[in-house]
Amino acid sequence: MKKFVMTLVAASVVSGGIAFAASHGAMDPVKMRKDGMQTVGLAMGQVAGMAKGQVPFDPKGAVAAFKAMNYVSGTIGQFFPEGSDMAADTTAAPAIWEDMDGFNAALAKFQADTAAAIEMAPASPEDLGKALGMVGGNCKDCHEKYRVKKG
Amino acid sequence: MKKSILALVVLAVLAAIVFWFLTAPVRLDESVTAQMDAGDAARGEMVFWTGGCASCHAADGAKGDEKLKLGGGHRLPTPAGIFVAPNISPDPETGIGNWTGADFANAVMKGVSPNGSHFYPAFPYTSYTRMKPEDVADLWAFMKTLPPVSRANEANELALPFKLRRGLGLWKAMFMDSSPVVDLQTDDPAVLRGQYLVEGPGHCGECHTSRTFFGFGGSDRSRWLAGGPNPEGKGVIPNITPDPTALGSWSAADIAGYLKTGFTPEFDSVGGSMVDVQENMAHLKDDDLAAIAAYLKAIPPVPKQ
Repeated sequence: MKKFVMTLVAASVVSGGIAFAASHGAMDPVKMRKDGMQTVGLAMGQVAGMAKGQVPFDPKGAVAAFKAMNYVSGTIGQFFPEGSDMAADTTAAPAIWEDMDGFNAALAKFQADTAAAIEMAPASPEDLGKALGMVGGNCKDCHEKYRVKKG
Repeated sequence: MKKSILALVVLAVLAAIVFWFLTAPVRLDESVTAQMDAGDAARGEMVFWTGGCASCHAADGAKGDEKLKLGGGHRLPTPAGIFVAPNISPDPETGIGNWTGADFANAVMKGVSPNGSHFYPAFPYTSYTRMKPEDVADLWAFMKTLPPVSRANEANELALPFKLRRGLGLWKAMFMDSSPVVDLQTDDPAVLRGQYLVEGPGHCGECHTSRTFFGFGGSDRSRWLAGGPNPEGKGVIPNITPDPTALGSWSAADIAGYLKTGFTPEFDSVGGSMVDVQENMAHLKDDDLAAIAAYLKAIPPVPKQ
């Protein structure tokens, strides 16, 4: 059972990562950054589930999830080219292009915090909760300024 | 000819008198304001977070204890112009340090300032008017414990017709309604507590409900909490009714969890101005968050427009 869950966790995180990587080739920046964010959401769901005890704790799966987030945080910045705020289906806020330095700094912080979580390699749900506390705030800190809700 | 001019003058004077009476500020009864100095500051802190005072009255981007410094300055863009939140810290010079409990209650529950003029409804007294006087008293007790901030108020930047505060009396007569918004037909204490928190101090409807009268009126009760275009500019304010196109698929636990942690069931995160609201809500007790969730599941679903 434990093995099965671990496989499931790994598979879902990896498939998210692959979808993200595959979309690199497609060169639609809006789709690529959306896939990237979805990968982060998926990975976040996995670790939060473990921390809350809804999903059995799996240290390798947890690190894999932080690695997925770390990968996205380090690569997603290139998918916000000038002018891509005009796409009909984007929820990227104009603030990104008005304040590209601030946006990049937010991504750099996300990358550093996920790297620290990987380094920490949480060995218990409690430790994982701490790692999550370090990483989780990045989502809303960035979404507060750099995303607009649409429908 | 002379007669008709005289008649016009008389009519104009009469109209001015009627306007004056219609727009007169209405204050609270003394039986209510007399309770204002018996509040409990610890309980008041919970009212403070529910009321979201810091979101407008603390400095933009304030985190942690900085949210308790209520020097004002937040700019709120609306169809009428830009409102600049005033200093409500206990500073006697630039804040509300010289106010009495009765002044505070009249401001919060009636939108009337100590000198008897109307506040603009950018200050959500249209919701706070549903608050229990004892909660306002507790809030007042807490407000007095906060650090004074010396910061002079700035003028609002409004289009001309909206500069005339007296006219707000008419606006209040037309749009201010302290009755409960939803007729819930339930005696479930959690749902009723949630109704109080959402419709009263939480003032969720001020953003999450579109306004009548081309955006200048009160909440459109037929589309209660159904969201709409964001009056602050880009994007939309989400529909938070239990419609399938809105929060229908969220359980009550999902809603309470979102307010506590800032994460949706799909692990998207809270964003925009809701980040600040969620951080306020995270201070609430779990059973109050559950009550808000129970109410949001109990209100009528409103489909996307």
